[in-house]
Amino acid sequence: MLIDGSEVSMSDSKFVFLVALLCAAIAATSCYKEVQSEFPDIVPVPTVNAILVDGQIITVHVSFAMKPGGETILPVCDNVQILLYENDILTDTLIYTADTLLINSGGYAYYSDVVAKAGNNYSCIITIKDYDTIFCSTEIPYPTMITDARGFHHAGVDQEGTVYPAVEYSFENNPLEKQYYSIVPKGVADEKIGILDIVYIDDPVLLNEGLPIGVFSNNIIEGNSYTMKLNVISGSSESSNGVWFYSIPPVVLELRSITKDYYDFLQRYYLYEQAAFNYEIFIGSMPAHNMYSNVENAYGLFTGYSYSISDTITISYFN
Amino acid sequence: MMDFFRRLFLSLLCGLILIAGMAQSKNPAITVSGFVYDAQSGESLIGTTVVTEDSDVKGTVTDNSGFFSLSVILPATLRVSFVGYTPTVVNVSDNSHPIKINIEPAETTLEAVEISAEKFERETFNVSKLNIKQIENIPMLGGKTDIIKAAQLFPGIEATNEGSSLLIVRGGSPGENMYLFDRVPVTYVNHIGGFMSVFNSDIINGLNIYKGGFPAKYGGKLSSIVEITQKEGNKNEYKGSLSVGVTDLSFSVEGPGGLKNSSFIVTGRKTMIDFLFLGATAIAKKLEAQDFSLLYGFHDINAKYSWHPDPKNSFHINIYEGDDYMKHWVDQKYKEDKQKSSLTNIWGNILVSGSWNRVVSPKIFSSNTISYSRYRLKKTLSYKFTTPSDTMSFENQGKSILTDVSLRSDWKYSVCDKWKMEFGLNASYLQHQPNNYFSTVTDIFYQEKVNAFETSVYFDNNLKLFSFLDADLGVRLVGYFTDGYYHLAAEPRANINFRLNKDHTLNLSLMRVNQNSHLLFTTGAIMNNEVWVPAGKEIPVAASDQISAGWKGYFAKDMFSAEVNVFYKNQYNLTTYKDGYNNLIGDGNWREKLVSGGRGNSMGVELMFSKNHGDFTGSIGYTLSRTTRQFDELNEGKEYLYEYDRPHSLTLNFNYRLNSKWNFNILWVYQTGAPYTPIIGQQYAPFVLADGTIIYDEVYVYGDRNSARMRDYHRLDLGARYSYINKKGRKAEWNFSVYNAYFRKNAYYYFYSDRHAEDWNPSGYNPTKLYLQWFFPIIPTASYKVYF
Repeated sequence: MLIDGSEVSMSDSKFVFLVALLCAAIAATSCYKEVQSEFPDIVPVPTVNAILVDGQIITVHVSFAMKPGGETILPVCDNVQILLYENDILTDTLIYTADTLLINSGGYAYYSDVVAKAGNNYSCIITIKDYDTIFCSTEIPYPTMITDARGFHHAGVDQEGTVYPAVEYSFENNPLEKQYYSIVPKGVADEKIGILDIVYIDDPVLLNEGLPIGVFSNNIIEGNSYTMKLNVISGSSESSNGVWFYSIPPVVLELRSITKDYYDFLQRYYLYEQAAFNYEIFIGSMPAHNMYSNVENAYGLFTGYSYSISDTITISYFN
Repeated sequence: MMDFFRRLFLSLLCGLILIAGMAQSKNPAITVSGFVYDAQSGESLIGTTVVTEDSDVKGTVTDNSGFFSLSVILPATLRVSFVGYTPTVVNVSDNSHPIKINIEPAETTLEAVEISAEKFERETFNVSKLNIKQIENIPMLGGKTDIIKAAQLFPGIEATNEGSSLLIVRGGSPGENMYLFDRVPVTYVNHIGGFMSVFNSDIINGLNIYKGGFPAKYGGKLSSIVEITQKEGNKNEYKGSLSVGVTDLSFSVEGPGGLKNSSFIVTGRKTMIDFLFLGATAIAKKLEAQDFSLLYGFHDINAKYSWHPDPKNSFHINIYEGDDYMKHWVDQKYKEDKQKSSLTNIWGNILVSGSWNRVVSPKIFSSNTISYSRYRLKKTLSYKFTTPSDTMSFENQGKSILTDVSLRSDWKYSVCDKWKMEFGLNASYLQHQPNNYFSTVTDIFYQEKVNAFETSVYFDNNLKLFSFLDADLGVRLVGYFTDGYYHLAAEPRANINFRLNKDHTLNLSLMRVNQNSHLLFTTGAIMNNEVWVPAGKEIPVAASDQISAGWKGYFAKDMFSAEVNVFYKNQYNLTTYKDGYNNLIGDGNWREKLVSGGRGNSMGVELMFSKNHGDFTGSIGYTLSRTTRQFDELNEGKEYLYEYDRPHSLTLNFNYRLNSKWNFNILWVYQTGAPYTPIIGQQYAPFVLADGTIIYDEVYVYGDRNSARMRDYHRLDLGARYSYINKKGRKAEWNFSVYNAYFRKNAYYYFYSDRHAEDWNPSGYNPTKLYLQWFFPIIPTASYKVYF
C-alpha cells in the first residue's frame, strides 16, 4: 500500500483512525510485576504504644519492629519492666497480661491498675534487656464539652448527584490556650457502632488543617465557642422520586481532646497512608515517610485523650 | 562562590573592555546589518550563517528575528547560507539601510551549508540547539513530533518520568525551567500531565536550551532557559497542513496578512481521545452500567501575525491559548424533576504578546515586547436540582492562578568588530492566586491575591579579545517586591572561550541566578499537579550558582564533532511540599504545608559525540551525574538523593536517509533506575476503634529517603518517515514509529503490597512484597500529514 506512496490520500484517514484506536488501546494496558528482592535483615527495634484514655485503666503495648515479608505477625516483648509514674511519682509496675482483643497484634499487653485521669501527667521508664532504656511521657487534656448538636438531611450533593447529610455541633473554646481535637462521628445501628466518613469538607477550621479527617486545632478559632459542620456518609445510598441520597444511621459525636503528639500522629498517619498506598498515575506520588513517634529510644506513640459525647442525632432524608 | 564570581567578573570586564577599545581604534571596518528571509515564503530565517568572502573570513549567525550585524570593509561580499537553502552571495556597498537578503530553498545543498553554519557557532557551550527539521525523524510516543521530548536526547536533559515532556536539566526541578515562547514566558508547558508539551511543532522554528552559562539577558529560573522561536507565516501565498496522529488532530494555515510585507500563521491541535471517552461512557450508560459521563481532552491554538512595513521595522502579534480538561457529569430526570451535577477540572495558559523590532542604526538593534499571560488551574463542582415548584443549586470552586504582565526591551549595540554589547530591561507585574476557593453552600471564600513586581536590567559584553580568546561578560540586576517583602540581587555571568586552534575550543562559564516563585509539583499527577507560590516573608527567594567547563572539537573536516562539559551547581532556598502533601487546592492554610530553605547540589560530566553529515548521521550522548536535596524538615534533615537523580544516562540516536523519500531512525535510551524509599521493617501503630477499643496495626518502617534504586531503564525506538507527492500533487508524509521495540517493562514506580501476590490468600496472612508498575508496552504508531 505504501510502496510508492502515491495511492495514499486523505481518504485513508479511516485507516489512520483505526491505527490510532488500536494504539490507544495498547497504550491503555499496563501492569505490574513482582520485583524479586529480599528485605535486608535488621536488628529488632522496640516499639512502645499506649493511648491513655481519661477514666480507663492504663495499657502499654510493647513489641519489636522486624523486617517485613515474614510469615508471622510481629512479636511482642514478654520480658519487659515498665515503671509507671503519675505526676512524676512512681505509681505502678505494669504486668504482662494476655488479651484476646489483641490476637492480631501479639495477644499480650502490659496492664496497670491505675485509671488515667484528665489533667495528670503520665510517664513510663521501660527496660528491655540488651536495649537502651526507653522513656515516654504524656499529659491527658481536660475534656471539652459538646454543648449542642443537630443534623441536616440535605447538606450538599456529590459529583454523582447523590445528596449527603451533615451534622453540626458546638463546643466551648478558650482562644488563649492551644487545644487539639479529634471529632469522631459514630453511626449507631442495631447496637453496632461504626465510624462515619467525613466528606466534602467545607468547615473553615477543618479546611485550614488541609486534610480530609476530623483532626484539628483551635488555631484559627477566635471566639469562646465554635460550631463545626461535618458532612458525613456511611456508604449506603437510596433513591426516592429519582433522587439519590445517602442514608445514615443515628449519629453520636465523640469530641476527643487530644495531645499535640496525638494530633501530629493522627495527621501523620493519614499522610503516611496516602504516601504508602495511594500511588496512582492520575493522583501522583508522594515520598514515603515514617510514622510519628514521641518515644525515646524506640518506635511508637505514648499519648492520651479525654472525650465528651453528644446526644444521639437522627437524620432522615424525608424529614 | 559569589565573591569569587564578583571579583572575577569585574576584573575581566574592566581589562577586556580596555583591550577591546584599543582594538576598535585600529579597525577601519564599518558595521552592516540586515535580515535574512526565505525567498518563497518571506519568513525570517533564524540561525542563518552570514560570512564575508575575503581572505580574513568573518561571520555571524542571524538571531531569533533573522537579524544580523557584521563588521566589514566596504565594498564587501557576503555569503549567506542555511540548512536546506541555496547559498547566496550579496554585494554590499554602503550601510545606510539594513540589507534584505532573500535565499531560495533547495534540497541538495545540505552538507556545504551545515559546514559553514557550524564554523560560527562553535563558541556555544552549555546550549542544546534543535530546529524542527532535525527532529522530524525521531520516533516519538504518539507518533507526533514534540520538540521538548526531542531535547531530552541531549546530555544533561532528562524527562521526569517515562513518556513525559517535563524537563529535568542538570538536576533541577521541572519548575526551574524558563520557557520563552518568542521571548514571552509560558507558565504551564504540558498536556495530559506531561505526556505532550504545549508547543505545537507546526509553528515551531527551533529551540535553544541553556543548561548553564545563561546570557545576562536571561534569568528568573534556576536551571534552564528554553528559548522557543515561532515561524512567521508565508508572505507570498496561502499554505497549510493537516495531520492525524494517535493523540491528536492538528492543522496549520498561513499566508499573506493583508498589509504589504505581512503574514499570518495559525495552528491548532485537538485530542481525539475525547470522542473515545464519550463513546465509551455512552455505551456504558446504554448498558446501564453507569449513569455518569466522562470526558478528557485538550486543545491548543497558536496564531502569529507579522508585519515588516519597511526594512528597519517589524511588528509581531502572538496569541496562544490552550487547555486540558476533564469533566465528569450526571444528568438525571424523574417525571418533572431534574438533577444536574458536574465536576470539571480545567487547566492551561492563555498568552497574548506584541513586539516591535527596530534597526535603529547598522550598529543598534532593539526588540521590545509587551505580553500578558495567565495560567490557571480550576476545579468546579456544581449542582442544580429543579422541581416544578423549586430550584436548589450550589457551586464549589478551587482555583490557582498566576497572571503575568511583562514589558521587555532588549538592545544590541555593535560597538566595534571585537565588542558587541547587549543590554535591556524586563519589568513584570505578577499576580499569584495560589489557592482560591469559594463555596456557595457555606459562604467560605478564600481569595488571597499576592501581587509582586519583578524587574531586572542587564548588560552583556561579547568581547573578541584575541584570535584565541573571547568572552561574554555580563551582569543582571534583579529586584523583587511583594507585600512587605523585597529582594535585590546581582547576578554575574561569564562565558569565556579559549580556542586551541580552529577546530578545538575550551570554555569556562560561571553564573548566578535567582527565582522568585516556586513550583509545587506532584510527580505523575494528571490534574491539579502544578501550583505556583510566590516568594515572600515565609518563603524565601531561591538561588543557584553554577560553574561549568567544557571542550568542543571538530574532526575530519567537521564530519564528526565531540563535546565534553563538566558542571557543578549549588541551589539555595528551595521549597517543596511537606511529607504527605501533594495538593494545596481548597486549603486556606497552604503555607503550613510547605517546607522552605532547602539546598540542592548537582554535579556531572556530559559527553556528546556526533556524526554531522552524510546520509548516515547520529549522536551518542552520555551523562554521569549526582543530584541531592537537603531540607531540615525532611528525611530527618539528612541529605538525600533527588527523586530524578540518574547517575548514568546514555542516548544513542542514528538516522539514515535512504533516498529522497525514506528516512529511518533508531534510538536507544539507557538510564540508571530512579531512586525510591525502601521499606526496612514493620512496626505496630495504635488505632482506636469506634467503640473505644485500642488495637495495633502493622505499618511500615522506611529507610532513608530515596536510598534504594529501581531497576535500570532502557528502551529501543524505531522510526521511519516516508515523504511523497500524492495524487492531487500535494506533499504528504507518513510517520511510523515503534516505541519500546523490545517491550522492556520499565518501572514507572515501585510499590509495596500484601495484596498483589499471585498466591494471595484473602483469609490468611500475606507477606509484603515489592512490585514494579509499568505503563508503556511496545507501542506502534503512525501519523499522516498532508500539506496544501
